[in-house]
Amino acid sequence: MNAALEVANLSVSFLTDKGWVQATQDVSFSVDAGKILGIVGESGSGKTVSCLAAMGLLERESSRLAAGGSIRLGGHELLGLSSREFQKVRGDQIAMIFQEPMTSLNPAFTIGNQVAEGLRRHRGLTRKKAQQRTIELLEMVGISDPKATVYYYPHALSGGMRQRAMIAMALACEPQVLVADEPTTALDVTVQAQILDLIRSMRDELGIAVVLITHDLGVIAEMCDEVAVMYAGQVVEQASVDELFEHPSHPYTEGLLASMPRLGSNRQALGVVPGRVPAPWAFPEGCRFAPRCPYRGEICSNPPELQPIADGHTSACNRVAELHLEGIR
Amino acid sequence: MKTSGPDLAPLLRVEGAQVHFRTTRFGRRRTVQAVRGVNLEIVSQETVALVGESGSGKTTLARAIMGLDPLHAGSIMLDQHRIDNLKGAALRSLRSKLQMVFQDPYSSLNPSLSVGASVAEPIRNFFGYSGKKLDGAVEELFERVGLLAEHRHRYPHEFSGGQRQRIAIARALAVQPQLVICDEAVSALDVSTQNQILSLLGDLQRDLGVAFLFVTHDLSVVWHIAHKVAVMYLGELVEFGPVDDVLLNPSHPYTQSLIAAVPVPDPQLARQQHRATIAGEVPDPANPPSGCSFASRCPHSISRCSQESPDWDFVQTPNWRVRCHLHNEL
Ligand SMILES: Nc1ncnc2c1ncn2[C@@H]1O[C@H](COP(=O)(O)OP(=O)(O)OP(=O)(O)O)[C@@H](O)[C@H]1O
Ligand SMILES: Nc1ncnc2c1ncn2[C@@H]1O[C@H](COP(=O)(O)OP(=O)(O)OP(=O)(O)O)[C@@H](O)[C@H]1O
Ligand SMILES: [Mg+2]
Ligand SMILES: [Mg+2]
Repeated sequence: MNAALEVANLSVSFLTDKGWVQATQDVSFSVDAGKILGIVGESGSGKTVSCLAAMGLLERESSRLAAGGSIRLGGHELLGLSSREFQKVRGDQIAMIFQEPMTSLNPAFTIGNQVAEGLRRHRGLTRKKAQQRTIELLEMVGISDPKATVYYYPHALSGGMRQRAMIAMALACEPQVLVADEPTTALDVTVQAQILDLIRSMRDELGIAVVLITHDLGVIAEMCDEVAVMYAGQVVEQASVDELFEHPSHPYTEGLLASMPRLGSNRQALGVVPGRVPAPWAFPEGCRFAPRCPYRGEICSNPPELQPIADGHTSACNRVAELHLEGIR
Repeated sequence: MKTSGPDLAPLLRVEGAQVHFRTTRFGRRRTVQAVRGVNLEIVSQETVALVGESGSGKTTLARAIMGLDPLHAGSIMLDQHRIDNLKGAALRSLRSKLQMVFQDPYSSLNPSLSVGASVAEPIRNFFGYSGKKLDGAVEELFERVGLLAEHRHRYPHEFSGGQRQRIAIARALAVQPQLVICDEAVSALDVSTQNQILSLLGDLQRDLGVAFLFVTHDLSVVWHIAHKVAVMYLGELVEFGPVDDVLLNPSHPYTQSLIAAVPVPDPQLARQQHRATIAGEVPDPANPPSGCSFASRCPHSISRCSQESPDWDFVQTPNWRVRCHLHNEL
């Protein structure tokens, strides 16, 4: 069976005042129908860029994708599609939601119009049918008075309700894949819990595949089946969620787990990974994590490859065979 | 920050504080009751966390303590002196005892001043230092917050978010305050940077004896850094007490649902636990309900709850207080 979404070797470069710089290198991940893949990593590690690339949403003038990449949606290659063709796929078969709902919602149109638009464009529904379906969708995402809400403008809704409306819009055409970029980062824990519940139930009921970007390992633990850890533009570890939390196999993952504050845990000093993610033009030679890594050795001046270390578990650490890293148990 | 000193007379005492904002919404004038009768005490050298959902009034309360938003009613005492009615020079001299650090340090740092100059300014104003003495004080502060002293000639945009937060902390500490209010000061940072700043705050408390009012919505962070926690809902405090008590055995149904909503960072435990999410949204602060503020969303609410506003009651010890009619029965 084909993965719902399979991206391989996405290397994205941007034109900046320092010339072309490569922000991500050979990023690969895949997610099956009915599963949730988490992508985690510190700010600037390349999570958003990778997903924008997979969605064909990078600006064509100021960015480029290196040859040899691939984006397969249900087995069909999307790379090489014209912007127009890509746009057809987007919203119809694959949809994306963002941290800030106002990046997708237009303040000048009612919620109803915006959700209905995709239905009319991609599904050719009549105005009336689209309106009906819109109300059903708003109800499905837990908006309490959907019949009134279709006439509201986005600013009249709370942050959580806007997020729901954006999810309704993304799900309008029943995509096979939903990419969610920090969908709850700006929300209260209580609203976050509601939105995460919603995403989970959409996954269960509609069988969609979800790519969930977050820097919160708590959200990863609650939501995901598989996890990809990104650092400095590369995937450095990938595993099932249990395996990743219990047997991390990259020092960066270990560092992230150790720095996670945990309510109710014993209060030893919170861990830190010293330093921060370098900018793309300053990525170190060899292992990019080495300058921050407590286990770095001479071998780390070689660039490590992402390689299988157990069934369904890959890691890009030169010293993976010698290290015994600590998970949460 | 876990080494609380002996029990002293409170450094800060907020009594019956109310803050109102007159606004218009959809063309109608209304009065938002952002803070509705808050009592809060902070003992010197301790860290009190103030938690609650967005819009519950945390920032407004913090700003009122700082004298940035006027009180509609109530009083605020610092070191047994009333500070809510200060003006002019008295208000300025209060600033040496009370400082605030914001979520976005960019907003509190002047982009056209070198960061060293930003830190030097309050020292010059308060202590009248100049020349070598001023330089020395700035250098010492930079080292204190973990920055290289030679970076003091750079500008805010040349620093990362975490470094800018260190600079903002250095600036707050420059006047040797007794209480520093941190409003979501680490919320925008990566967890590793966040932890570095939290440990810095802990060191500062240990070495300099500062007290912190730590405004946040992250309960896992509260667990690690605070001695006491105050839970705010719709402009009121609903529970207050030692962190271990409140976070491990929350007494108020609102505190309970806040804690239940925190993601469990352990995949196995997360699967076992079914999380009950609270339904509904926070009522309009321009139209607060007459009974318990949480009644409309509370899974346990009975008719009394929507009629009668609950008073403070002790939970086990006088240090731990809750406002809920049903807390003994739940
Ligand atoms: N349009 C662009 N032009 C130039 N550089 C860019 C552009 N977009 C992203 N970058 C760079 O690519 C790198 C990866 O950025 P990305 O937004 O993917 O990070 P992220 O992992 O999503 O971080 P965050 O958690 O902050 O959202 C960063 O160094 C960023 O500065
Ligand atoms: N200057 C103002 N004018 C009018 N209303 C205001 C003003 N400042 C705050 N409010 C209102 O007062 C209430 C409390 O806001 P406040 O910013 O104190 O909440 P908060 O708990 O800090 O929320 P957050 O977690 O989002 O920062 C909200 O309803 C807010 O809209
Ligand atoms: Mg991002
Ligand atoms: Mg606030």
